[in-house]
Order: sequence, then structure tokens, then C-alpha cells
Amino acid sequence: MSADLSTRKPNRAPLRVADALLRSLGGASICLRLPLAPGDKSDAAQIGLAAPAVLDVPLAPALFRKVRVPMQEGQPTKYEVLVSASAVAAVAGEWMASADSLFQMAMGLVIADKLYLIEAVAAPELFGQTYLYRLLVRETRPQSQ
Amino acid sequence: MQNAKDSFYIALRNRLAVLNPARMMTLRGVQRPGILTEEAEAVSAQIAPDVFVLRWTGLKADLNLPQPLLQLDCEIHYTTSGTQNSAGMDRGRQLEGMDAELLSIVAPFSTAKMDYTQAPPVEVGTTVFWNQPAFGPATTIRDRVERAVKVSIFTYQEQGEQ
Repeated sequence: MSADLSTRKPNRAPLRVADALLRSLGGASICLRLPLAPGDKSDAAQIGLAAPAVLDVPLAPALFRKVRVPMQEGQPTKYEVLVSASAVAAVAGEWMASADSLFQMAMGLVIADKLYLIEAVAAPELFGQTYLYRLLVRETRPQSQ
Repeated sequence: MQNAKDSFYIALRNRLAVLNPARMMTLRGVQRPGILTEEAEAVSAQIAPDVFVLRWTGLKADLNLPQPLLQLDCEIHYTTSGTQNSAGMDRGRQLEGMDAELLSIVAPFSTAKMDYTQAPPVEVGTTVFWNQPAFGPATTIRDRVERAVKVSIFTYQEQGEQ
């Protein structure tokens, strides 16, 4: 068994390439819906009585596209979101959280004023650096006013 | 009936906080005991590990009484992947620990019914009571092991009550 022990200088090239690619393919802006910290500690907040305070944090550049899956009756449409790792890192740093916990904390994504639920998160890497995040999201069902 | 659901959840949460203060979770920026009502939280793709999740299912009403008696069915779901220190190989023990905790927090099998829409909450005057928990089989899904427990909650519907 052999190991690759060659020296590589860490640089941000994979992130810059991913950002350039995302911008060239549209460079949309999406928002991560996060609960406002510090949260509401009351009983009312835990039993669905008090509306949660949320903050929509913009992430850009990003790409939003429909996932090509066989259509099924009654199933909401699924979408794939590719979002810049540098944008996610900046937000995660602001919230003092890792990217994983940031997505776990998120209540969804807001894209063009519509809420999408995060179903899965993948973080492809190159030379040990995550260069973008792939999110599988689905439309929320209509909610009453 | 919402008062009964709220009172049941708050009773179990308070008992869990006393029984095992270490079973905490951080949800929506708040650290709180590891129990939640599924329908009162944001939708998630999977049940959060190592916490008790209350899911309200069935509803029956007996109207042949001076006050209608309602039966609300609650499924309590919990799942664990074990601990990192044991590489997940203690997931059976962790599940057993949660079984024991649940068995402890459901007793005594009643609590005062409160109206939480008012601040501070006020006692409605009757109690919410429930039967013994029916433990379902442990189900293994890859590295997770989970269980669902059914409890039926009974409450009298007072006039004008939610």
C-alpha cells in the first residue's frame, strides 16, 4: 500500500474556479433561513404558539436547477442547489458554526420568495478543500395565511 | 384538546429535565431538554438523533358522557447511532437508556391540564391522564436503531375549551 506524500501548497484555486463557474452559469443569490439567535426560550415557542423569529442570510453565487427524477403523483418537485463554499464559509464564520451545523440549523432555503426544505447536503472536495455545497431541496406545501 | 397535547408535552419535558439534565439539544438557537413535538417544529428530513419526538396521530371521542372524553394517540419516536467514543457500537445500550428514561418520565400517568395560550398559563381544572406505554420493536436502519412507543392520552373536553 502506498501513500501520496507529495507536497501541495494549499491555495484557494478550487474555490475560485467553482465561484467563477457558478457566476458564469447564472450566479443567482439564495437565502438561508436561520432562527434568530438567541432563540425564544418560552413554552409558547415550543408548542407552536409563538411565531419563530428568523433571519434570511443571502448566499451567492449559487445555481438552482430542477433535479431530473421520475415524476410521481403528489410528490413535490425536487431541486438541486449548488452554492459557493466561500460564501458558506463566510456565513458560518459569522455564526461561529461549521458549515454542517449551519445547514442543520437552517429552517430551509428562500429562493425568489419561496421556501424550500433541505433534504440532503453534500460537500465535494478537491485537495482537501470543499469548493461548493450541493443541496437537495424540495418545495414546501402551500401554507395558509 | 390542544391544551391536553401541550400539557402532556410540558409534563414530559419537565420530568426529563429533572431525570437526565444531560439529555439536551440545541434547536432554533436555544438549548433545551431533548424532547420536542414534531408538529410544532420546523420540518426535517430525518428524526433528530438522541431526542424524544412526539407525533400526534389518532383521535377518538366518547360523547355519551356529561363531558366529552377524548382519546389522543401519541407516538414517541427516538433514534440513536451510539456514541463516537464507542464507534457507534453502543447504540443498543443508548437505545436501552432512552427506553428506561421514557419509562420513568411517563410515570405518574397524569398531569394537570393547563391553558398555555394565556400568560402565565392557567389551570383548566381537570387532569390529563394516559395509559402505560406500548413499546414497538427496535428497528435498525443502517447505523441507526430506532423505536416508536405508543401512548393514549385521555382528557375531558371542557366547555369552550380549545
